[in-house]
Amino acid sequence: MSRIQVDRELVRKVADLAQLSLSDSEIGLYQERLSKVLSYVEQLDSVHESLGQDWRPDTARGTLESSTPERPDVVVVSLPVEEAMRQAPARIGTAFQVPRIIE
Amino acid sequence: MTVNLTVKSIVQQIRAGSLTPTAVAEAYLQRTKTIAQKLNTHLHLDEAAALTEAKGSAQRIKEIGADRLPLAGVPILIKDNICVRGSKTTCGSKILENYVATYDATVIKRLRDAGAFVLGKLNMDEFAMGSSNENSAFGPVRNPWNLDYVPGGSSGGSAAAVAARLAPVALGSDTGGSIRQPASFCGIVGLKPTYGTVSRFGLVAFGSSLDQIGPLTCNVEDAAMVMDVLTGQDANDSTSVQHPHGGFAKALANDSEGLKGKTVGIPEEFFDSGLDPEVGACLERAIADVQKAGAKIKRVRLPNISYSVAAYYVIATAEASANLARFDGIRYGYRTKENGVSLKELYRKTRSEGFGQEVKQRIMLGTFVLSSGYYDAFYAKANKVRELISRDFAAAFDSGVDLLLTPTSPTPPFKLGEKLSDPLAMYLSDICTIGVNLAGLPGISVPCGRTKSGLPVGMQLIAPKFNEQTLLTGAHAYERATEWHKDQPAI
Repeated sequence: MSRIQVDRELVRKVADLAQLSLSDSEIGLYQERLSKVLSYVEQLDSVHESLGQDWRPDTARGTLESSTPERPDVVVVSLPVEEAMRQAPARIGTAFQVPRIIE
Repeated sequence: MTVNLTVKSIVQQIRAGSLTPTAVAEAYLQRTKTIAQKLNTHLHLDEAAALTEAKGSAQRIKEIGADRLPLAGVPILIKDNICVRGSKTTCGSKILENYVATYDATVIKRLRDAGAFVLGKLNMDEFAMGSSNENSAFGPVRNPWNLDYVPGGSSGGSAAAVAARLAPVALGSDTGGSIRQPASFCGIVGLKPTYGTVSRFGLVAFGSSLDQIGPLTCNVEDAAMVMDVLTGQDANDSTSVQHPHGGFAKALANDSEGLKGKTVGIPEEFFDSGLDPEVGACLERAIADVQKAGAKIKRVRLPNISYSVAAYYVIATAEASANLARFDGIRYGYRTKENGVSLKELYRKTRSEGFGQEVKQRIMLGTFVLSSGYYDAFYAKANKVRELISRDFAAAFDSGVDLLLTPTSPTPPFKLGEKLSDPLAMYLSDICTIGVNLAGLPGISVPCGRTKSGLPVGMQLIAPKFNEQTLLTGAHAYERATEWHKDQPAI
């Protein structure tokens, strides 16, 4: 793990991936805060581990069950459409309304 | 009716017919009216809805019988990231300010089926991200022991409300210490169950491999009674399992040994120079009390525990960045008021306006550690460190230790605003609790002293996976040997 240089461009790029738009002052704020947290996190680099190439986190942990349990395939009542739609910020009939995507 | 009641005493009085759920609700609502505003504990308090809930409890008692309802007539406050159908569930965030849950979380169904009823919804750090409850979009919660101090977080509303006796029990959620640390700061009991013990269905997800719901109560016995109801496999949460044990309250009542013959491990790493001297003094006395109660003390090592905060802030933020992607202003929740924007702009403006500063920071951190070129260096590495930490705990328990004893927090409660400008200082508040979540273990915080200025200090006990019974028995034995849990804030 190399020391990460958190510059304004990196903050912009990450915000873009995270679907966030930041003001100039926010970019400065997060540049400082992310830089501080990442330099702390970089201490993980000093941990020596020999878990091997095959080690995978999803098989190492888990609870009493070693695999995802299955449940009976039975029909259950789901949320009525009207109730599911009730809190939509904008809707047309039974569809969620979004800005036009195809011009 | 006095509101200084325990879960156990309410159930006893309901069964004896000397109390009704409505009388219980009215008494707590009356006290809440005078105190909740000072503490800013409540996000939603609907008196009519609470009284309707109490009537529902009375009806179940009439139909089934109080003797068959383990929590007959018990009022419960709920952290606002747990869904209660028909009630707002904001997660302390502007983005869900007007969201009304369309279904009940499994824990809510279980509690109601056991005779309990919901009294209201509580303030919290936004999306459970915080250690001081200062990250709520609806203002900070204050510590009932001193209003200038934080109650801890993220279940700060839950801890402050129970400490102020606004209910005998509240539900919280714990991803890195969010039940135990505020319980410690407010002088009450808080239990984080083994991962998989309590269904997370209806809990708004933060870090899905870490999150657990648990109770905050005034004493260990009450925590055991609530755990009896919360515990169990749920088809709606594939990570939940049938607990191999159970009947916690009964086992506590029948236990005559307590800590006698038990070996309590003291991990050296938690007692280093970073520990506040007053907390250290309380813990030294607690260790002596545990010894006096019959336990053998053994010094142990957790060699990788100092990396837990670093590993946690990679794993938890990575999971959060994926979980919080669903809040996009399309199906429910806040949507930007700006017109004429593209779909992409709508997502971005909605999220930027709806999320608070800390949440945005953690989403970005999580996005970064999962991004191309950094995944192996951060996310994969953190998961390997997590495995090492889990193995350290397992090795400690395998060495003949029944329970581990640590501080719950390295410091006593701090002042409002004191750590807000320094994200690392705030993250390090959870250094004693985070490892327990990474390893999926059960942990409990119990009061073990007060500072010179009168602020509470908590001690954490940790048990092997699915050994909640050992955890509760040990905590109960400590509680019987000491008086700290009887202290109450003068609010």
